[in-house]
Amino acid sequence: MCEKKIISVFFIVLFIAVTGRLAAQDSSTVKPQAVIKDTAFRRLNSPPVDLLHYLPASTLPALLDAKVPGVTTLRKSSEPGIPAWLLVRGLHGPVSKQSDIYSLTPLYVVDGIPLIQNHAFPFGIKQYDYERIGSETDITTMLNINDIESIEVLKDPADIAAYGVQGVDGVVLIRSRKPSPGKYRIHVNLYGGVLVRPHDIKTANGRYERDFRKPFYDAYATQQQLSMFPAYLADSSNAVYYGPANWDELYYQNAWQHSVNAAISGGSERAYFRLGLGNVRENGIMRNTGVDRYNVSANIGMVPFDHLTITTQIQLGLTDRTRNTLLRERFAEQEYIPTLTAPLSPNKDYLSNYYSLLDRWSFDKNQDHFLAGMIKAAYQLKHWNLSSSFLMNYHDNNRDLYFPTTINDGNNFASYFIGLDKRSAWKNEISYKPELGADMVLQLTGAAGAQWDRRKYDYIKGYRGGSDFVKIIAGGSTPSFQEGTVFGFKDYLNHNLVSFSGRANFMLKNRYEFTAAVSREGSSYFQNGYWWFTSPSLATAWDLKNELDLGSAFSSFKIRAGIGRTGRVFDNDSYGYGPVYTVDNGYNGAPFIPSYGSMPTLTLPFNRGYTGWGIGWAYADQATVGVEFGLGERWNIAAAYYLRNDKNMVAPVPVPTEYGFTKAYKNGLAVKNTGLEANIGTSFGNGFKWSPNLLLHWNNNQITALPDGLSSITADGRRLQKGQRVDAYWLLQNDGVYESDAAVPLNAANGQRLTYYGVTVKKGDPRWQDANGDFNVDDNDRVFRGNMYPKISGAFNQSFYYKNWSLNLLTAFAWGKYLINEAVANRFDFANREVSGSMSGVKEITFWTQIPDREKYPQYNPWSLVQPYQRDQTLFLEKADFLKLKSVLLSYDMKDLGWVKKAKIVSMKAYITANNLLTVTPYTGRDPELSNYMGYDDGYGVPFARSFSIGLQLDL
Amino acid sequence: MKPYNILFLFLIVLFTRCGKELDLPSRHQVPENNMWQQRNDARSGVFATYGLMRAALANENAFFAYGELRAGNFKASNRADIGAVTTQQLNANFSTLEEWKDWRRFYAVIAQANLCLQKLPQVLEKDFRYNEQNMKVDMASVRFLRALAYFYIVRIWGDAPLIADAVDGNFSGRSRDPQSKILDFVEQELTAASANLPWNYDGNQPEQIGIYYDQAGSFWLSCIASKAACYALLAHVYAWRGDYAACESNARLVYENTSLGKYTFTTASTLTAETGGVFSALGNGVIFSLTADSRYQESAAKGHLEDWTLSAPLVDKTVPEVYVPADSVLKIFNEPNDQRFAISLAGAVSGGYFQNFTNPVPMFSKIKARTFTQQPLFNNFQSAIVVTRYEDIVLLRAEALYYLNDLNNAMVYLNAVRTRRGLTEFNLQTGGNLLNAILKERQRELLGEGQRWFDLVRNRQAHLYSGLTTDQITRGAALWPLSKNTLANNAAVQQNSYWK
Repeated sequence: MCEKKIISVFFIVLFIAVTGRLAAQDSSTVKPQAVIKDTAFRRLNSPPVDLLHYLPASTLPALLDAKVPGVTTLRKSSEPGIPAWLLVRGLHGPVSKQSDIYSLTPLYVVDGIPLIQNHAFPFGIKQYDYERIGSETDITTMLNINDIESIEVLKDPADIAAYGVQGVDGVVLIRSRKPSPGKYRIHVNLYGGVLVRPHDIKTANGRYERDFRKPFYDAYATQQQLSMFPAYLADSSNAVYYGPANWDELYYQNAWQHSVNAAISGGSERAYFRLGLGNVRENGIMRNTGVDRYNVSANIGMVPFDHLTITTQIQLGLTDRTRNTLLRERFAEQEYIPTLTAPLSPNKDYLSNYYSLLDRWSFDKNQDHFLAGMIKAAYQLKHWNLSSSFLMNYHDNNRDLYFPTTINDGNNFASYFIGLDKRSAWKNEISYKPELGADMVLQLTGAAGAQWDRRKYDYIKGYRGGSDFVKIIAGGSTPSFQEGTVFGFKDYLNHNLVSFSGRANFMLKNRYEFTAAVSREGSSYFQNGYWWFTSPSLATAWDLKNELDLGSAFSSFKIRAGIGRTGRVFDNDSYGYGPVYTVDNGYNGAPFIPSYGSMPTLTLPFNRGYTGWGIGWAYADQATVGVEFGLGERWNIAAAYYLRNDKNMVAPVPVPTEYGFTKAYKNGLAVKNTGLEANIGTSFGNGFKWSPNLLLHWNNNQITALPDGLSSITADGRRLQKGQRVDAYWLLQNDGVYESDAAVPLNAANGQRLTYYGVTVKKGDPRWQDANGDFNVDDNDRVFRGNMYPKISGAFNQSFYYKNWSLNLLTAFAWGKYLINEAVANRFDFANREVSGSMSGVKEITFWTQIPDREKYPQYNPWSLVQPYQRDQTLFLEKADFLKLKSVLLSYDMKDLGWVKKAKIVSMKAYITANNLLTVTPYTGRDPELSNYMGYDDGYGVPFARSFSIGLQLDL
Repeated sequence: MKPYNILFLFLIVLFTRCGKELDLPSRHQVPENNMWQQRNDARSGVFATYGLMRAALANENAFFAYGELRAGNFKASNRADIGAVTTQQLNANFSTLEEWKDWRRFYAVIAQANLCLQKLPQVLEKDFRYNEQNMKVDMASVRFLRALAYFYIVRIWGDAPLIADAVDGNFSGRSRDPQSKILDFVEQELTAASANLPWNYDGNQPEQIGIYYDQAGSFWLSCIASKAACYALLAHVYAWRGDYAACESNARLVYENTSLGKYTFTTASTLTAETGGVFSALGNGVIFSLTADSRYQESAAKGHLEDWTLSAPLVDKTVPEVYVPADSVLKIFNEPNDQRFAISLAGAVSGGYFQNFTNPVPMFSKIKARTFTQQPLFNNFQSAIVVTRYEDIVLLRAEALYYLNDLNNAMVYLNAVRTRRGLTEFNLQTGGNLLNAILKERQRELLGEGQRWFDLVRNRQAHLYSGLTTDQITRGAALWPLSKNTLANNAAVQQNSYWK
């Protein structure tokens, strides 16, 4: 690249010039100055980290939930350690499968290290989209909140610019506690607590289920259908299914949790350090679930020469997750579904047999290891700042499991997954800050960097091992697993990213502030000719308090605005190489057949979809205006309006089936997010102080363009339509039930009754609205209703202070949020599911619960060919607004106690927390916050449990 | 060393490195530029066409849905989607029905074949290990597969777009070409392919001298295209078009070259054998089949008929998804001493076609190539999808001779199969209608192999077994409807008239 050469020559020349000047300078009194970057909305971007130290949670998305306006946490379960996702300023693109969410979530940056995220590409080797292959542990478990000084969520292009295209969906900037020279300081934070298992589970047994189904059989069943009545429900004397339904006593557990953290820092002016250690054990209420986490962090600063600072930091993490033992997840992992005719017993006496077999013989080890390290050398002079850093980031996730013959129809299963993600990167930065007099501050920064990501995974699975005593897959002359049942998978994904950037910060008279940045980045995911993308941005702030001399009525008053563009890299290398060949000749139920007659195969990706030449960069254009002001002494208000356009994203476009492809990938999808973020805080009282604080995020999204100028794309049961929301459900509208065949509308034109996709509608079928009046209910009669992402979300938090006591009430709310209660739909769809030998026929132990609001659902003919209880209809759409009291936190500062003073303790606080105390919601399912990423609540999410903890924070 | 010198070094290191950083080859898949370079690429492309053909027929047991479910033999026990097909309600809204209604997977075979035909000459230029003979056989193989895919398309959906050029990224909607045009194309392609394919792959055939892709002749038996496969398919194509003279001559070519083609009559026990039988191994009288051998990890739990038809004690399932009701079985196997299935006067059941005959839902156990025959039971099957075998062609020849009014010879070929299955010779005086006897023999012999529905349609007898009226059939009910995707993504294609 000639372009690169020019830039490099420029930098080298600049460098020589600089070093020449440096030598001439008198630099003995120079102190490093902070970069001016006051164009960011701090009050809208930062969570209260000091409170997060007290809260029991092991992942950052869980901790940040409802703490920052504009940042939403998406969760499918409360199982400890399971990934949760942050969304910054709404949903930037469509989510039609789980892996889609991976490319819409923010980048975590820890002290300048952009963490390498889990990648979605191993999803490709699994048939089922319920869980991620491997340990499926949240990446942020590598971070110990106790080592964190502050968190800031960057949203605007000028703020993101420093982190490049990887930050297009926002940047969660984490600054760890820095070492400081001087006396040794010790910091300790401990807590222990308990989660209380739910006692309000409305369990059910075979009698309930039979009574539930009987009216359907009475009304609609044919003789043959009657004869197929499931055997496990047929015999009411069978204690296995008709005994007391007390499975919840085994399935849910009271769980304890603890966190032990200690850190020491100190050292001389020339060399100083901070060392932090932490262990968190978070158990879940579902039996045997939990996560055990160990963290080590070390920060070392050295000043070997004047002006030269060398800082080294290392974060180590080890996570051991014990995960759920759900049938569905087991079958999905082994991709083998045993006989489903006898579900688990709702009675704990029988259920315990199953669990003891499971616990006795199987194992399921899920471990993650993390390493993030950086060495940075900074040379600081009066006007010049030079720094160079090298970082490494390593993450492996492992799952090693074995399922015995006893629970698997006599076939055991073993698998081992190891996924490795490695990142190494260089970054060099040079900045110049001339003296321009008292009124002007200018800082110019140039940076260049390169990043190498290397990922791979190895997966091996085997069925029918010799016995339950040999739990590993061993090859050789006497293999432990039968020939023909051992399958190996391996894949690699490499990505290089090169970036050059420049930034100017300018402040005039303490009133006007400007930040302008431009970066040019090249990604190896694109084909030659499309490598580079330029992202410019600008941000300004205007201090009206100084400008207008507002006096004491306003403690501060600033107006801010920002605008810019940020590029977006694909999440993998499937799009940027033009047409590609791959192994794609599988079919439903056997998607990964590699060969024909032992001969290897390579096809165009007919099932995955065609990619042509010339797919280019997607990008996000953003504009923000906002205001931050303080009214008098007590009120602090910050608000920002944003407009975000994600453009030119790659989307699958259907192609005529006559070309053999399911779809073709093309640029051209655009999604607009608009919204308002606000943080309004105040406080009342003096001795007794009350500080309420309202965090608010109003958001709306819309699809503004589709590839090829299409007005809609239909895929996976959802429709993307221009002008509609990107997360809208696409549903048939229910209007009751047809009481008789005669009640079905008659088309006078041809004398035929109303049809559903061509099938004549009969008695007992749903009265779905025939919106276009063509006497055929089909896709044209579906309407867009509801949305997964809430229109308004936020929190109303309150703090009370009295003497050394403080009490915090942390809440969360959402309004304008909807979910499809798929769990209930599945229960009503028993006629199809009972006979299905596939995943939809799996009955989890939670199947034995009563159906909430059962009466409100009409009684359709479940055997009808129109599939009356399919999930995508308004019948199962529910409002999922909520108001939650997330945490109550009471702390007492012991600084005034005599012995504390005497012991020269710097600070000592005791605290208790109570979590998940109260939820107000119209939603009838488990929890309005839990669903898959498409907004379907399949009932698999483990609900949030009430928990209580007590802790102590100590600084010596 | 001065500190800034260190920095200087850093900068040098960085800027001299990022030159080639962005030109990073994918380790994930093969880009267009790297494909079609060597012999192995040609092989992968050609065998992928076979793999796609297998996928098209195996997906949700499509070959069975097209060839059997509508023909009245089989009933669904509990699956509503299968039940909808057996009762001719093909509009019903099930995901599996959408799969069956979609011709995309056949067109994937065609697209891959078109691509191979365009690109294989390129390999010939680039890799000396790939020779002209090799390329001719490969090209003939993919032409055979493309013709087979079109023949299925015409029989299932009627008119369809005829696409014979390789994909170039332009996906404009094409309108349907008349079936006659497609069948002309199929004939022409099969004739051309037959010229370049060997009778077998023993290395001594003029079309294939020396071994094919490093494997001995027995390795390739019946699992890849051959002369016999082309002639057998041509016989079917001509029969479908009513040109029974041409059908007969092609069937005769198959019949007269058994030693070259290495196929012959099978015994009833080989036909129903669990291992080493017609459906599990190579050869055994099969002319062309799509295999799924567990030794190569091509076997699976799905996409094999066993998944639907077997029940206890062969698999861990009490009721199979599809079955032949006992009274139908008795009607179909109504002659004594049939080695496939017979019931004695004392009620004793013999033959390998059915088990659990006294159960309300008997098990159709003709095809049962379980990967593991020993306990514990494991749902993994490796049955091949038999496209055509010797008995099929012998009986087809009988059918052709009947239409050509050569009844005596028709009887010879009918009896050639009958006597090998333990039945008495057919007698024109006592046996009733000869055509019905031939079709009944086909029904018995080929039960479950995906032929019956096409036999009925070809002989205009579908109304007798399917529940459809002749009027419905004249209005096009014998064709399948097109899928929602096909209709939505190509405005030039209209739904088949009966299903509108």
